Amino acid sequence: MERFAVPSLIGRHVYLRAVTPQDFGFLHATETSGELGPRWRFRGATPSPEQWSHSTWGNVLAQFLVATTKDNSPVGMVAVHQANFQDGHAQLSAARFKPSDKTPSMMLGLAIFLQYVFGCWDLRKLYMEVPEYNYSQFSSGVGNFFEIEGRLRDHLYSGGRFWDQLTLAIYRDVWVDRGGAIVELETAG
Amino acid sequence: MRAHDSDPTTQEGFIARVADAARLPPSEVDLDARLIEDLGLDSIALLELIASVVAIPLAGEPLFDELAAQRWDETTVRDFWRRYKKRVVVIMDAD
Repeated sequence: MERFAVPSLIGRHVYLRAVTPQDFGFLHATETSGELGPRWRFRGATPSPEQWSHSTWGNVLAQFLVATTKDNSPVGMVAVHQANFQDGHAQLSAARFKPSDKTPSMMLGLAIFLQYVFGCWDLRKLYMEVPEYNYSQFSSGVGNFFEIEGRLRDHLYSGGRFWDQLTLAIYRDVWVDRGGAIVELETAG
Repeated sequence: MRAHDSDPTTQEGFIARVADAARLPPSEVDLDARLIEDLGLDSIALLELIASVVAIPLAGEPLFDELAAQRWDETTVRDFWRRYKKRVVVIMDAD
């Protein structure tokens, strides 16, 4: 009989943990101020705590904080939402709390999350809606880890100009083939 | 020589892997270039490069632990090579 393999949420450098009510104040403040505020989903707006909470949990299938194993500090957040099990796809979102942080921590956390999502649900592909101004943070992955499947030209206004919005797609088979080695390094031992 | 066939324990092979991550010809990779600011490695390219050079026998997990945890803002190709050489090439030479 094959052994039941549980997708791990714990890596050597980072781990994923559930978002709890104790995190709400920190997350609300982080998302609506500082480096991340204009870049992520509220794009500079400051929703009330109630609106923020509703937006944070609406249609969410799974959501975690990415934290470092060294000192438990949160480095980002990952979520999959709007799952469509009939057609086998869902939306993926990921945010690094300090976009200027140059350690690989957030990418390792995202890799663990992708392994978890594809291990828990029979989804074929995950979509990411990405503003053009965030794309350069990970654009080298196109063709290797994800594809660009849509582009809305001049769709977003931020920083005094219009930007495209990209729809990226991560396919299960591509991820298993190319992302597995990175997850294996991070979760070994 | 294709980058993924190169031996990263030689300086030439190591630079070939950096060049591949940066999508540049090896001749355009200067040892004093900073990986992020000058060569333009983004977060995926950096992680792939780290995984690529540690994924050889004996390089092992302790090196991956070090590299994945460090800050890379000002790290140059030379800094990375020296650190890698110190930990990996010495181990392999000792065999």
